Amino acid sequence: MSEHKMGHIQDFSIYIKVLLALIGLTFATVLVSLVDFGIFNTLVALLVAFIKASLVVLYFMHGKYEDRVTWAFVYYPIFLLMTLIGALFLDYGFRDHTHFANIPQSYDQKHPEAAHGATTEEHGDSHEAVEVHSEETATDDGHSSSPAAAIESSDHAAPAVDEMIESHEVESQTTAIHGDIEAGRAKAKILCIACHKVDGNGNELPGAPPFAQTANDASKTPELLRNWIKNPQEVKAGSLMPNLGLSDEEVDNLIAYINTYKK
Amino acid sequence: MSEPGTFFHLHEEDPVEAYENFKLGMWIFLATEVLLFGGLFAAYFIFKFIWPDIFEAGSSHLNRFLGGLNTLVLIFSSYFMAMSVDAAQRSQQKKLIRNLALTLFFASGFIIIKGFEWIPKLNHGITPGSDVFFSVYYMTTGLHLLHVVIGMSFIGLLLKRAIGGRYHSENFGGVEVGGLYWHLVDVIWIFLFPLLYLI
Ligand code: HEC
Repeated sequence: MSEHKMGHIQDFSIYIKVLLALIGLTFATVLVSLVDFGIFNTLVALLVAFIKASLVVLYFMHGKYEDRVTWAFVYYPIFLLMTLIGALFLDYGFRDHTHFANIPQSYDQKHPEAAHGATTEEHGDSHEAVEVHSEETATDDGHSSSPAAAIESSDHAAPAVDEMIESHEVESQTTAIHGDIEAGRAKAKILCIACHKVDGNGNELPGAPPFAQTANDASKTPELLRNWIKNPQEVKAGSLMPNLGLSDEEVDNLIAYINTYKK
Repeated sequence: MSEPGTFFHLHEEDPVEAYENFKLGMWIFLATEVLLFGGLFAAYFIFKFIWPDIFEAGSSHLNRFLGGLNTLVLIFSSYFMAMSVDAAQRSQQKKLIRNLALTLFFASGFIIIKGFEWIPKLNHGITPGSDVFFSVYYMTTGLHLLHVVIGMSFIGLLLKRAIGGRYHSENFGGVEVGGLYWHLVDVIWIFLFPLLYLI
């Protein structure tokens, strides 16, 4: 090994040629993406990226002059990745996704007013953005099927009224269910789905009762559920369910959602 | 022979062999980096398969122009890194310093443009928690950005040492190995750009 020289000096012009090729391919991949070829868009984009990456590895990284041992370390991650992603395409490509279809919401669904491309604009109008935002929350609540949520949102607007009502509500707080079902569902899909099935999706951790069972168990009063979801360990020391650090409002929403399982 | 203060000096190794091993070590590390990002690519494809419409909607929020510009900026940076290695191999001290400085210059350009993308988004309330597309978006570009910052500190160190006159045709392993890392950062962006912005 010690006989051969250190490194390999490459002809100068190669670097410029590779640079031009990389720039050209970047424009090409953007142009191709403007035409809709369906699944081929992904394949073409990956192919172009692969060619660009190969140029960088071969000429910028001097991979061309490296020995077999080095190349083994180039091929092995590529081989593993192709296996992983190839298997994944075969698996998910032939799956029926309809039962997944509506778990999370996209940003656009959550913010229907936010026009496309809004984010790419100058952000000088951050004032406007804040206003739009508060409007959205208002309409969001308007969508909710629970009248209690609507009352709540107007309470926010008038804190004085809020305080007045509060004392009246202490009683009903503990027995009535007055959360926003949709907000609860959305939260459950994020936080609870790892251990409880939500709308039929997700895991069911052994020992974690299905929501349907809880909702139809008369002994599980809203008050008990409220305390439980807020801090399971306080209700039952050593419980496997973690304290998720939820606010009162979030807990109410979740309870309203669980209650939809009631038959 | 090797200079005092280089890594090679610590070993009683033949300098050429030490140089080869130095490089091989970096190649092996880069293999693990590919797998690190590979896991995220796999997550990207799984989520995209399950929720194609969320990905389409999310992707349309990204600015292709800035993304494309950043791709070019990073390619230029990579080019000047390659030229730095070439200059070191040819013992061209001044050119080495200039090329390293240009590499750094384009790298900072990348970060600034990324800032122009991220900050308005965050101001509009588009956060990693907004939806599954943006979780993947912020995770992959964030991890990549971290690599850019680490790469830039390497290049800064190379620049400082180059100014001190450390590198020449008998000792350029440091520049080459720093370059390998920097090129990988470019390669990863080459894949991230079309996946996130274009398809
Ligand atoms: C890490 C897993 C885990 C997560 C996450 C989790 N739970 Fe649980 N949950 C459990 C387990 C385990 C039990 C049974 C606990 C026990 O009896 O000790 C349980 C019990 C419950 C119960 C009581 C059911 C009954 O009939 O006694 C309710 C209600 C509940 N979970 C709601 C939720 C909600 C709402 C969320 C999301 C905010 C959630 N859980 C998240 C694991 C989890």
